[in-house]
Formats: sequence, C-alpha cells, structure tokens
Amino acid sequence: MCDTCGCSDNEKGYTLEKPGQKPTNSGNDVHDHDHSNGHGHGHGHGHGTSEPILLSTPVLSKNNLIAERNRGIFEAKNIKTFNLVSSPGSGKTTLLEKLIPILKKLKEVYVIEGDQQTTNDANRIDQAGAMAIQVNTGKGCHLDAMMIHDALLQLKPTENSLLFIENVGNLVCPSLFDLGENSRILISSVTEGADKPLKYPYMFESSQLCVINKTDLLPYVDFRIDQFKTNALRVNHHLDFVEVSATGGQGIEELVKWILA
Amino acid sequence: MHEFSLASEIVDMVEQAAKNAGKGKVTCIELEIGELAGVEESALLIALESLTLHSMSKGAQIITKNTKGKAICSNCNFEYELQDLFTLCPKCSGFRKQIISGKEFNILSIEAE
Repeated sequence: MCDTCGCSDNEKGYTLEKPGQKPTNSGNDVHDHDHSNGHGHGHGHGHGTSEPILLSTPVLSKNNLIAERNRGIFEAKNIKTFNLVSSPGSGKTTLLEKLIPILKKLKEVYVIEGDQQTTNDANRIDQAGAMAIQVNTGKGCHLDAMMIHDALLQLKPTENSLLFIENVGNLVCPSLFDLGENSRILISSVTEGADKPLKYPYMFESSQLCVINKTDLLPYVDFRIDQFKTNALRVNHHLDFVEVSATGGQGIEELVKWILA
Repeated sequence: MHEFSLASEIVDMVEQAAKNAGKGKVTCIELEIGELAGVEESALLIALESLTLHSMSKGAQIITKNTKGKAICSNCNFEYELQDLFTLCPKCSGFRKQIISGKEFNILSIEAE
C-alpha cells in the first residue's frame, strides 16, 4: 500500500463513510502514481556506472500541489476552511457540537472527520446538524491533501459554506501536511500542561489560532494560562488565542467571531 | 510516525525519476533535511530501509545534508542560529523572528544505473 495517498493495487489505505451509509473507498481517483514492481530489472544498461540525476524537489511537493488544488476549489466556491488540530481528548468534537448550531444559522456547515478508526465522531457531528463525512486513515497518523480531495468529491460542500476538517488527534504528524485550509486552529486544553507549545512546537508554529479549551477546569488544575501563552508566542508570535469552555459555553461567541472574521 | 509517509513519498519520486531516465537501479539518494523541518532523520532512514527492501532502490546509499536553522530577530535584526523553533534572540531576548533557513526538506539528487 502507498502510505502517502492511500492508493494501492487492491484497496485504498483509507475509507470514507457518511453517517448512516455504507463505507466506500474513494472514487474518481484521477491522480497517477507509479508504483515500482519491486523487481528492479535493468533496462539493458549493462555498463554498471551510476549517473547523477538532479531533482531538487521538496519531498512534500505532491501533497502541496493537491493542497493548492483544494485551495482553488475553496476559493472558487467561497468556502472558508479550518483544519482543527490537537492531541486526542482536547475537546475538538465537543467544540464543533457547540459551534455548529450557532454557525448553521448563518451558513451551511460541513465537517470532514479524521480518525484512525470508527465513525463515532461523524455520527456526533451528524446529530449536531452538520453534514459530515468520516475519513478513517486506518494506520495513518494524519490526514493528507488527497484524502481531503476525495472526501470533497463525496461531501460536495455548497458555495459560501464553512468547512471544518477535524484532523487525527496527534500534535506531531499533521503539522507537516497542508490540506488546503484557510486557517489552522490548534485546540489545547488546560489539562495538558503549559509546556505543550515547547514540547510540540511544529504544530503551534503552523497554526493561526490557539483555542485554550476546558477553562471551566482551571480551579482544579495547575495550569498557568499566561505561561502557556508566553511559550506559544515564543514559537509563533503571530498566534491568536481564544479561551473557551466547550461544555459550559464561555468564550464560544468570541470563537465564532474569529471564525467569521 | 509521519516519517513513513515521507519515506514512501521519497521512494515513489526517486524511482519515477530513475525510470524516466531509463535506469533500472537506484544506487544513491541525496536528501536535504533542515534542522527545523520537523523530520526525525533516524526514523526516516529506518522507514526508507524497510520500504526499499524489495524495490529498485534496495541498498541505495542515503546521503543527508543537514541545513542549519537560522533566524533573523524582528526586534533587533540580529541573525542567529537555532536548533528549535523557540530559541530567543541571544542579543535582545526577543521572541519575534523570521526563520530564514532550516525548514528545507528536499530530494536533491539521485544516482542510478
């Protein structure tokens, strides 16, 4: 299996599933993608001399090209797209459940859910009233631009809508993979420690907004918000912050403003 | 462990380039990995080794060129080296900076026969 785009001779490495429907492997796969047959036969060279071939190509160029294609789709249809990244259990899905009813009054809301397994999150989003599709990455630790492209073909978000991509819960790997989003929103909860930005700097560096979630737990945890923000700004001095409690609702309005700005 | 995906991408690109040049075996892969690229080199090398085991790149020598991380302080314009994303300016302790090198992650060249 090709781990980059999930394609293989037999099956995709990831599946797409809408709540209440049977899972499918992605359709309309139009990228060509040569796979070595693994035997490395020579082609009549016979002289055994190596020749240098200059490439000077970014390793992520293919992903970035597909991400730009996604970006073009979003721009053409005026779809604002947000890539939600965090460690597992920070409250991404709960936050979306809170946001969807508010945002739905203004715009259509679509969600691409990324998890290794299960459609639990897509079902929760469906219940909250947004159109969702679940990407199960199988063994993959992040979403990539091709998965988003395939999900878009099935989800078909309408013009002038909002699209949230809930990435796989992982503060390391998704940071390198542009999906074509307008903004990357990092969710970090107060139970995670103020040194998170220094431990996982790449994700903080590549995000535009940091949502500090579960602020209702502040009286019970040893978490210094000022220290956390200082650490995050050391990594990325452009970062915006919004403090919220997804369960209590505090700060949600401010987050809605940021999303719609 | 995103290095596996990255290694898979490298192998695909390298072997495509070798085939395009009419070659049957890749003998050397030269990579550029910046100190601030977010790529764990040892994990990448292990992934490359396992991925090329049954391919035309089997046994290829992997050469890595590590680019130093450098930033310019937005406060005092001092240029300094850094091995991580949060090192403060050694001159003024400012944290606002522009990274000017170290984020490279490229396939520079290959050798094939």
